[in-house]
Amino acid sequence: MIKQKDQITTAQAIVYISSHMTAMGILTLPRVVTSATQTPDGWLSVLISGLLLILFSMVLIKLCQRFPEETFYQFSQKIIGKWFGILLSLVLIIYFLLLGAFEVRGMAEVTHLYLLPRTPFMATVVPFICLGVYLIVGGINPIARLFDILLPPTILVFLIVILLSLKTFEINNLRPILGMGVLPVVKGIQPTALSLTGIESMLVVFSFMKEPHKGIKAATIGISIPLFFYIMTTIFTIASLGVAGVQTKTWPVLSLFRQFEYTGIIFERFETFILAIWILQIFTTFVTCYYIAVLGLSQLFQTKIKPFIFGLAPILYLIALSPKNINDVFHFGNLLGYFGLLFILPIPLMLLLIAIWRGKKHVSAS
Amino acid sequence: MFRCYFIIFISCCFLFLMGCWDSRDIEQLNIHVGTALDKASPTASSKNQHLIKLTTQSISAKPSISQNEQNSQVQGQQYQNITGSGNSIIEIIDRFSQENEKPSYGQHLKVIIIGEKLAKEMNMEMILEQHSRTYEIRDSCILLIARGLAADTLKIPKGIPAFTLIGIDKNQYKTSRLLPPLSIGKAINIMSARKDFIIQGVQVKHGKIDFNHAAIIKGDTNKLIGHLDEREIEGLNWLTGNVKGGIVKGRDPKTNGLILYEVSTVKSKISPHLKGNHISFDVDIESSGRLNEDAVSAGNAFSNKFIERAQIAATQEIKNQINRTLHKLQKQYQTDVVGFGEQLRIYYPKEWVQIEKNWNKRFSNVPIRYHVNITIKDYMEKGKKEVSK
Repeated sequence: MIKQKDQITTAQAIVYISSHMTAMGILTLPRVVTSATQTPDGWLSVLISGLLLILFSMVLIKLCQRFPEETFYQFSQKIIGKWFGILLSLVLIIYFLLLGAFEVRGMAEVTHLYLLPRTPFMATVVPFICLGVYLIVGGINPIARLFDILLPPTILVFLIVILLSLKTFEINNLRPILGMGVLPVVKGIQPTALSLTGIESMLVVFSFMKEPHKGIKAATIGISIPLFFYIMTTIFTIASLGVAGVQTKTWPVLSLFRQFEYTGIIFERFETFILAIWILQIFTTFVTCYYIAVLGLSQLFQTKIKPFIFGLAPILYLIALSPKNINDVFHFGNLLGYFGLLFILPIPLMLLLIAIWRGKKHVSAS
Repeated sequence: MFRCYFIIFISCCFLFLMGCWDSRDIEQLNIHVGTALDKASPTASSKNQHLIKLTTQSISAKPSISQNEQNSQVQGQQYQNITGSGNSIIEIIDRFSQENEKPSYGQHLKVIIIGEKLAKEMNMEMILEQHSRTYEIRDSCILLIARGLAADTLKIPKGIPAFTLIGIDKNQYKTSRLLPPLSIGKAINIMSARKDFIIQGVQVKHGKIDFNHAAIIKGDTNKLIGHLDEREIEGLNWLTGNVKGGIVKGRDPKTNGLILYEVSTVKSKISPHLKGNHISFDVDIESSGRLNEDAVSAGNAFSNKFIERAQIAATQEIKNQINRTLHKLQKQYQTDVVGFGEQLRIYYPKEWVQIEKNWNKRFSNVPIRYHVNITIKDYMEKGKKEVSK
């Protein structure tokens, strides 16, 4: 069997990061942010937390750059010893499993509400997981290539549909900027956590990069693309629904696209398009989570990856169906947001400091 | 062996790819296009008193009429109305399933008309609660208020009344006496912000639809408190800058002849002033357009003097309209549907928190100065009527 080395280019890494970041969070972000700020300045909070995230990602990338070609599961053991390393790796694996399951559940919830109201959850969740299994059996390369294909249509459709929503855009809903001072903006930073997690996938995916020295560039651009989505979405949603309206909607972004219709052109309604690309993006996030989790397990136990791939599928299904109602799903998402932040800043920072202190570095085999 | 597996696989695909759980034949659907909500008429027993009477208009997909049948008069009505009453909307609609073989389908609901009586007595947010929550009805559905019975507006003999209503509602580019269309999504957002707002009103006169008034909804109760007539709507539209077309009928200051100014663009800017505790507003209205018609026989549009007179005529008329509208809004209803408070919030966000509480009371005494600036750009194909001797 010819084995091609599993490597991804820098461009693929960028796509990978942004695909992983754009997920569940985007549909609820305007509500979550505005509930915290109570002013129209939510988009500033998103901007600031995005910039902070880019800053944090540098720490994470620096850590990974000390150990190119090694995943978090491997180098954490080198830095803080075998048992702590395994423990931390297990936590990361659990995090990704939960996140993957959460994305599946979110997809099922939204599909159930807007697209297929009478189709049972099982009928949407099972094929979704099965497709994921099919994809990750192929390894990182097919995954990265699929993401490559999915991102451009996503950006295109998103831009077209969001610009169509200019029909209901009311600039007065966005004014005044910073009317109540900076404090509301600061309050809005923290709830954006869930939407902005995603860069933690670099802890593992970084090891596949062909050019590890371009890691920071990849992370910066990779974060900027979804950040742009988020800011645009927040601005347009608040401008259309108003500060009060945004807070009352379950899925404010989908409500935004239901506010208008265009007659005379082939399509009248556009939320279906947004849902379509959104489900694609959920799929990318789900696949990444799933892959990183099984890769971790196989590296920890130093066995083949396939048994884990098939073994985890039912577990994912069970976790996905465990939240009892939609509020549980939202709480679950919030918790995961903070959980994810843990792996974005404190843990990489701590590991990096210990690695520097103990002089741990990757020694190339040659 | 491979072939065998392949065939099994393909057959499984057929099993699962056959269709959609949620598919429904279009012929089997009762597609609702318009809904009218009225106060239920009192029944004999006070126990079963219903709150809402709902009339819904549905069109069903029928095979198109073939050529030879076209001339016959069997065509009949293109729509059917179903009526029911109950305490909540979903309850009434569910009840329809017991009376009709075709299931109700709300995805294409275009217009909701609320009867005046119901709007006066019931919180609008509660009336629209079901519509705002369900995924079936889109937020882009148009909202109207009917004088008299809302159900009557859906009983016009010609065409499909629901489509007639939304058709008229989109005519804003032709007349300045219509409010911009208000979707239920917008209305719900305004109501959740507890703001006063105004809805286009419709009335049925001798079997004809007439968009001749507007209903004012008070923000804190979300109930209808009064009306503006069509001239007052015009004034309101000038204040908000929502005029997209239409004419202004002015009087020539010199000869008192009619001068009709056709509007092409309008810009309005409301600037709030807050000095200490004193609030005042300046409204600057800029408009450009053309001279459309005049009944001044000596009028010579080639000379700027006449153009200026025409401009004064239009300005006077617009000022009169605004004056009437403001008087009614400030003195009679004490509601700010123009958005003065909104501007105050934008320019003085911190002070607004305090002002907001009794804004309606203060609004009734706030001085509002308005400046109208009309520019007549051309006079189309004819400049004057008689050649000067």
